[in-house]
Amino acid sequence: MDCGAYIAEFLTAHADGELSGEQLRLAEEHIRGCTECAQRLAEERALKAIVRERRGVIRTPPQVRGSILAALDAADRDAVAVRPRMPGMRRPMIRHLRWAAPLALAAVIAFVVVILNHRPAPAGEFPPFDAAIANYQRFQSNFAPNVPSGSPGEIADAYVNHKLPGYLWNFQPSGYKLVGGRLDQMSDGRMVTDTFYRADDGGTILCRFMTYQNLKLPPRDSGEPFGEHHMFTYRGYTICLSYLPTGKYICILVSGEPMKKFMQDISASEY
Amino acid sequence: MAQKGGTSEEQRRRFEEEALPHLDALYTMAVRLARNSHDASDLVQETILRAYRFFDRFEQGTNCRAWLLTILFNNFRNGYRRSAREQPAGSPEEFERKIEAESLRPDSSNSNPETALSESGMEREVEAALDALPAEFREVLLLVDVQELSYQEISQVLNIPIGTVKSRVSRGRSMLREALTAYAKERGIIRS
Repeated sequence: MDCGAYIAEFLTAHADGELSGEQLRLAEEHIRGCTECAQRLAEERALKAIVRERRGVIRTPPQVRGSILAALDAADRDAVAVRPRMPGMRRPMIRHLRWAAPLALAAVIAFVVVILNHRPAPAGEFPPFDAAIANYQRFQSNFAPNVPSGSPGEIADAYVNHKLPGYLWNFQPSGYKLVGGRLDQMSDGRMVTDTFYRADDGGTILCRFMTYQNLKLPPRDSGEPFGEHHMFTYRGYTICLSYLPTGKYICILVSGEPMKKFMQDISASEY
Repeated sequence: MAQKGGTSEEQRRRFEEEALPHLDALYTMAVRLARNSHDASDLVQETILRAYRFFDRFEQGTNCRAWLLTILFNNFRNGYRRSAREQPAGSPEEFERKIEAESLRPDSSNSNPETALSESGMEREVEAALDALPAEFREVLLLVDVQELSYQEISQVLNIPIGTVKSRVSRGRSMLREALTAYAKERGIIRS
């Protein structure tokens, strides 16, 4: 290995302890025989030390730590308060049921699931769903990102810069790859984000974030509850509707898959 | 996957054992992102509550700090960055002075005596060089050098490809090296 290759390919990772196996052996071998590169490696490690020195750990102020512990206590109290009303419904059922230890409790939860899963989706016209489906259909043959889409981070930054949520679902565990993102303006002036995902088998998912003021949406407790989300079958498509915990935003996911399959995709995803 | 079920007391105890030891690491990153201690406190609290709520999604045996930082960055992207922009924290120097004044200075146990900096003009040069780094380079250097995450973990935290992590670390450190040439020569860190 020559010095150029070492510095270009190995130096940074070597200093960060990211090399192993054959790469580490090659790097170490080069360093032993090259004082110049050994010096560069020492410099790289010194720069790391400078960053650590000047931007090191800041202790959490006691009052912040105290308020966090108090917030956890409050969360525990809330959980106890809602448990008798709706056992286990805070999490996706598929995940929760696997771990319901007492058999009797599992049976009760399963009963609740059966009852709730048969709640019919509300009838009616919901323009936000129609608009999302229209774009979903259009994007099947032609999706052109209009924000930098080289990585999920780039897309998230573009959304955040337009004061919209930068949450990006990771559907990779279910086989969907991120195609890209778009920012568009609706006819009423509000901005929406459309993030599009495609699987190798041709399956697609559209994820849309928008504000929900003055929109005609199904009642909050309608649809099929699924963890934090509510699932709908609407005009032949499966829709997952979620209200974000902060801000006045909703997330609408659109899929052409049956509801059960889409729920599995969502369960396996990371958010 | 983390053990699920059990009582809420067990869940709370496990969370306190596994997640809360990383509170200082979260607060450190939050201060650097939000650039004011008020927003940083809110950001950390939101992150901890979300992590507690979804603690069953944490895979036991993986790096809990990386998992918590992933949530923190997501939260930051979704609100706190905007808030911070609307309320600029002043110049980087003012911000660092404010941290000093609030006695929130870096933990001295993490200091490397060999690189301990004197309170001199050169120290200000180092501060300026670090603050002048574009955010995407500064973030990866903080994650690798201060939070001591692997490239793979940083890729997860920032939701970017691992190759991008590597190139940002490399480029960020080159920029820092260039900015600190005079300082580094004086201290014998670099030769030429």
